[in-house]
Amino acid sequence: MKKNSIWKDLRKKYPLLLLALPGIILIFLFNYLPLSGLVIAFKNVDYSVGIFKSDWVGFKNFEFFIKSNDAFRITKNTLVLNALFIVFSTVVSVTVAIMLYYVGKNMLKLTQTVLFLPYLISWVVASYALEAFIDPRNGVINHFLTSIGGSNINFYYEPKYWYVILVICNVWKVAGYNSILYYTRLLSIDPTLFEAAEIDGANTWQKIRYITLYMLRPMIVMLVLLSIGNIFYSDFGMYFFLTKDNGMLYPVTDVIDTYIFRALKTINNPGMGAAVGLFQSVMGFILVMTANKLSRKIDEEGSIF
Amino acid sequence: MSAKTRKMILYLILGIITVLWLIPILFIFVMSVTSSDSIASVGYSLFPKEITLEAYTYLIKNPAQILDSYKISIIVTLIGTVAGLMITTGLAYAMSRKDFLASKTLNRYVTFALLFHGGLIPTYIVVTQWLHLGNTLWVLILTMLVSPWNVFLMRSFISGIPMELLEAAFIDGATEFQTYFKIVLPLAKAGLASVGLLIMFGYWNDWYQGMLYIDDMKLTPLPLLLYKIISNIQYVMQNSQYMNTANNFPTIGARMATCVISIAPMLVAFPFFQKYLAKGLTLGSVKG
Repeated sequence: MKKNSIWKDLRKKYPLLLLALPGIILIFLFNYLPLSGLVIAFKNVDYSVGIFKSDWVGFKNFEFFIKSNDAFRITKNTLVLNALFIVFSTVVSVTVAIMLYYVGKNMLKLTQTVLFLPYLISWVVASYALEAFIDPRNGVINHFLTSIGGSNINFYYEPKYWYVILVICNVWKVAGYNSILYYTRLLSIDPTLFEAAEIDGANTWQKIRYITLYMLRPMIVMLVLLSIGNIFYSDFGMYFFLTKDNGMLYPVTDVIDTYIFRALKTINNPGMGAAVGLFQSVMGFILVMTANKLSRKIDEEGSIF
Repeated sequence: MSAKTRKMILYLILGIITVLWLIPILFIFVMSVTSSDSIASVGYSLFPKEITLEAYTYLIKNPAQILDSYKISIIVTLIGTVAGLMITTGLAYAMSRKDFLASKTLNRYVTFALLFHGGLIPTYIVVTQWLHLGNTLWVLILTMLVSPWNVFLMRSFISGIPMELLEAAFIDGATEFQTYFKIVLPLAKAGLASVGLLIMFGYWNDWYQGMLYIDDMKLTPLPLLLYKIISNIQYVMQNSQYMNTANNFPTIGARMATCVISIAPMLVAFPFFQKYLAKGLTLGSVKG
């Protein structure tokens, strides 16, 4: 009975299906079809016979990955760097949003535009800008160091600086538009709340803490949970271009996504790469589901999807 | 501390932040007009000793590869944005119609695609081995045409349109298509603008699809060209169009100038569509 009515409804509203059809097909081709390609995680890929006829190797690809030193390194880098990004970009963007809110409309337009710019610029271009600062010979930092009699630092050979460099670049790129998100949220605060607080004798810090931050809390929680849900994924371009894919820096800058890319393009081991990718997808899926459940618990309206 | 001084301090801090954010972008512009001599003597600086338009003259004199790449980027961005927006909106509309019984299934279909990815390598194999799209213009357009994320963003815009309006149209005898084109699309203008911009940026800045699937220099989009230049300056030297001038080729300046001509269209257009983008991001973050 119920099934019948679905078909009847479909026939009656077939134009809706027609509108949706191109999208359905594309999502099938580029999102669902690759799932069947996941079998290569369990195969020794031989392109000459095609992936379905390649030999099954069971969990060999996973074993190979887990036993290599790489597994720990790339997982650690991915998680640690993403955690640092979440903390720093949240703190900076919330702070900027609150400042914008208190300053009022005067500087808003200019600041917003400028903070937004990095969002429009690809990591390729950003890597050129970074070079201006850290280039071993002509970079601003090294020029300054030599001018005060210090010695040059070749940043592209020194892993120890890169956590800091990457965090700064990430904040520069994403904090701007995050702060605009938070700022827009703040605009919805009822101004009478502040008036009431003032009458009750609250000072500025108390107002920020008990009104502004309180209003932002659901959104902070949601965006942070969303980022935690994506913590196994990295912005590939950032690592690839800023570091110039430099092997000397892998101990701190190699992440799961760059590793999979190399498995495909450089070391040509697609089976192992797909195994790592499957590990990433499964972990990511579990985390997103957990994050969504948590955010629904914290705030009925705040579920991510 | 009086309220006034407090405000002054805030202005100051925000001013400093704004300048800090701007400096890296300024560097690209300034370095594109810095002479090689100036770089040799004072390094990269926002205040170069000598300003020259040499780099731009080179680009104008030897434009073959850059024009090719510009052309590819423009074609891909135009087709991708228009087609992507149409397809995304169609799907989003069908998903938003609660009276359409299949909409639940559609929502689940797109949600799963958003949450679980096959990953880079299976996708690569599908695209190159099964669909045979490697080294074609199509691969640059098709792979990015519909993103589940944008579909949800679009759906949240369309859901804001009151159902009563549609019902009124149906009572007046409008067909599904008429309702969609004459009522839904005009009312979803803000959504179309925001999502369209996101799609457009995605295409204009994309180097990833090119890096994965394109070897042919004739099909290299602009951002990928930038990467190829940085990854191998030799490449520029070997490229025949630069050969005659390879001796005193202003490498850094030319690289930066290429950056400038790649980001300039976006920077120029940005102030006009800024408000749509901000709106899109806000909606998108509140409910995916």
